[in-house]
Amino acid sequence: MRGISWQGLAVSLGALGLLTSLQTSDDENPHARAPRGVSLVVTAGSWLRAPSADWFAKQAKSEPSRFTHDATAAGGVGGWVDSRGEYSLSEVEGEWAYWQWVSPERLTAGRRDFVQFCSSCHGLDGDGYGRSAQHLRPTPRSFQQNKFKFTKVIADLPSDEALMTLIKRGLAGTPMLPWDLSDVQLLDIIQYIKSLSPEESGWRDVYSQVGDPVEVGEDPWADIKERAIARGREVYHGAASCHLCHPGYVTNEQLRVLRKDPEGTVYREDLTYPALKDSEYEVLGRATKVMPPDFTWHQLRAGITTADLFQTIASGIKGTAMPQWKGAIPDEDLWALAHYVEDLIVSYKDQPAVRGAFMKGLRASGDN
Amino acid sequence: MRTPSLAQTLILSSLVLTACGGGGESSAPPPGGGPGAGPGGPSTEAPANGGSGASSPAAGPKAWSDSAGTATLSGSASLAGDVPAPIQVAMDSDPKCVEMNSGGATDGSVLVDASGGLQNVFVYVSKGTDAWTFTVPEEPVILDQTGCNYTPRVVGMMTGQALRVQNSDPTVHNVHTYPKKNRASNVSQPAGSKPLEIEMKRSEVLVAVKCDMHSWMQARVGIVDNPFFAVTAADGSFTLPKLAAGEYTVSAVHEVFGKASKQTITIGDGEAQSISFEFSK
Amino acid sequence: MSMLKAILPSLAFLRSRWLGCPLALMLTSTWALAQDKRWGPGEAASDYGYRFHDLFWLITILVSVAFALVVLLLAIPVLRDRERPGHRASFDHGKSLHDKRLTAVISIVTFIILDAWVLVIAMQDLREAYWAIPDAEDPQTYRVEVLAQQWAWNFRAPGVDGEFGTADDIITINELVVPKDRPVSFNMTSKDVIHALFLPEMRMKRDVNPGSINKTWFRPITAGDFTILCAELCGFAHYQMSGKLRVLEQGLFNEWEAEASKLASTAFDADDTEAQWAWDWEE
Repeated sequence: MRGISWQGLAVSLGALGLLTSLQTSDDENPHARAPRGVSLVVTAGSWLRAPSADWFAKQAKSEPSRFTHDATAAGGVGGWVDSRGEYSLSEVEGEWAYWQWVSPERLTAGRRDFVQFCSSCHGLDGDGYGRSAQHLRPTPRSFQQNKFKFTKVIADLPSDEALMTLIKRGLAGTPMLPWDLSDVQLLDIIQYIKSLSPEESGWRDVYSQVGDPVEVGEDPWADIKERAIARGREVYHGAASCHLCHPGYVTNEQLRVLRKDPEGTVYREDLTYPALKDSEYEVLGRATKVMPPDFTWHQLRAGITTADLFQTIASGIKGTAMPQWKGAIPDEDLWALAHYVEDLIVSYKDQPAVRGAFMKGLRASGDN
Repeated sequence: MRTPSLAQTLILSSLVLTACGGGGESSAPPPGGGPGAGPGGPSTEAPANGGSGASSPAAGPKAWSDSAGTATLSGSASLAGDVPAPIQVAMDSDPKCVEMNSGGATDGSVLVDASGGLQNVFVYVSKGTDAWTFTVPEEPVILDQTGCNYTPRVVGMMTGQALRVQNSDPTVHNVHTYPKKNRASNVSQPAGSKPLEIEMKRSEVLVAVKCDMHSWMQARVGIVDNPFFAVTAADGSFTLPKLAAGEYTVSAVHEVFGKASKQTITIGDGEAQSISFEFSK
Repeated sequence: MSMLKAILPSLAFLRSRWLGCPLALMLTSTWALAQDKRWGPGEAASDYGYRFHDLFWLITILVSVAFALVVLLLAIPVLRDRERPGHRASFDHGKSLHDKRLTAVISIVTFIILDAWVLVIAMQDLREAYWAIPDAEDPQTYRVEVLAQQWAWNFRAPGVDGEFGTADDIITINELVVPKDRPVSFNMTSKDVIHALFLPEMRMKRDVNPGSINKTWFRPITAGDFTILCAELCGFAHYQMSGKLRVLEQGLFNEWEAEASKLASTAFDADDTEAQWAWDWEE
């Protein structure tokens, strides 16, 4: 054929081969492709907040040669030392805190998987507003806001283990699926997510606390479920007043008895419906509202076993109206609440006829 | 058909290369040479590039003593325009609250007296105190919950001082703080609970405190690095006693109307000055 | 028969156990799988579902008969005319007019019986079921807006007021509740990539494309819980993009709808305009 420049063709093919080899050598995951102009490479490492001394004490049990306790560390207070130097106890703004060094290679690996698996909802920059996040309520987490609803952690921030459990389990009834990725991949993604904290906040804040989920311990009502449910009902409508946000599952008359307030006036007219509450979660700079679930109707996000419910009630749900209850009421009552809520779910959720009759009964009782 | 020339091919491939590689995140430089910093002991350098004080010892601030504060700044805050009508608050979600407010309750966010004086404006010195260091008071600032309302509605405290939130009501509340620079917290406080201590380590004006269970319950906390702050009284007046001679910038913030324009004053020893802030709807 | 003789030598490979074994295995495993109801199509739960059932079996039977016939016609000469002592196998190219006519006739008959028959039925099904989208103005029609995304189904129903884009719109994720015996009409689009709404028990499947609104419908005739799937490879978690379809009896559905609408109005935040995604139902 006339007009073909063999030299040009050879160079083109060579360049193509070079590009391909660069791509595959640079890119362990052949499917990870960022949109044009978006870099998959993180050039700088990060110092991020590590969990507390308790966490190190736990780690030291499995890796005694790596973590040792130094009584002279932290200005004489004592602290844990990592022989590998990944963790460091340092003073910032006059506070001693544990920090973790995350290398740029690790962040790059995390970013690759983040872009492939997470960015469609959480955004390429982790701002919580990716393409698939449009119109979505509840909103996907912004990793620049550093608040996590369902990690079951009382501390400000979840430990890597807590985040990993959440990602593996997913959040029921949302597009946050149970992610079937390897632990190595997940931990890299988690490091990357943590590194998105803005200066002086989240994992870059010396004052924030990183912690594990609330310890489950032993269920004091294990053998006396019926009594637990009755007690839970009492606490739900009494001391804890859950019905101020969630629906009440009793009539006004019963409520007065449960609250030991026989003279009490009429409670709100729509007692059997939840009330919309403010949240700290923002979309495009505007705070969204969050609906407290009706346990007989809505899908709970973070598990419906007694232990899951105990943990969620104990830790509260960060950034929403649901406060931390651990310490506010005795653990025994927390367990009773968990049993009561579980009973509501088992008895009425996904059973439209049974639930309909139950709610109709409450509403028809005159003053509801 | 023409195939691309050598030059075209090279330009094309360099374009593709630029698009695919490079870039990168900007991040704080790691201390102590990055990975492996100080395996022998704790690193003394700041991990995050926080504003760790680069203070030279020669020109350092000196400790504040009350004897230096001889000047007094007083003034008032007012709201331009008509006095807004009080908004009724429906507390019927919790009859205990209704019982405690038998005369009916009104929204406390905007309180204006007949002459336009605006209550609950947080007034503080935002600039001019760098010459001193201040000791943080040991005693906490008290924020009480009585009659299903926060009392006082606006409080000021120093950075690092504790905010003690107590529940004097026969019903449950949750204490939900909405800070931007400090740790957020949301803890429930049933009737008869012991007080909660909340710490704010960074200055921030104003932090909202809300009870989600009783949606009308709100308070504001102003956290500043110096002890020169005040909250306007029912007539909109405030006093900042014990200022030292010097030049200050004084700011005023209201929870609904936001910031009033800052004012810069120069005050001499023993002087008394007066300024006023005007807010508009 | 001469034609059959012609193709005999090319069938010699069948003697190879490398082909015979897998073929036998394939046939027996297909049969075994078909015995398990999880692998079969199951009962149709929509009123037009029988069409798919009929078409499926028609094709299966026609193809099976054709297959058996071909195998039989092959087997006879293979056995009868094979080379053996006293009989020599012969070979010709089937170039005679007779052979060509025979080939043409067989082809045309096969085409008419198999393809044309199926085509006519398929056209009829398309007209009477697939494209017979019910009138959106008809109050009997239950309308649902579908917004697909990686990796979830967002559904929006108009609620008791019958209007989209209002406070009482019932918005659900991966869960859809519809009334029995009423036509359910979908208007569907996608935020990101191509998905496909697949209700296997309803025999309903339709692509959902970003940038356009696709329509489809079905009428459930059985109450119960059914499957919602994505039938278009849409990314890493495509396999997890599933949901639950619940068909309720009319009375129960009306109660459910009233309650869902009331809860939706409670959750409605008028200022949060970004959360609104209903669109016009224009024809």
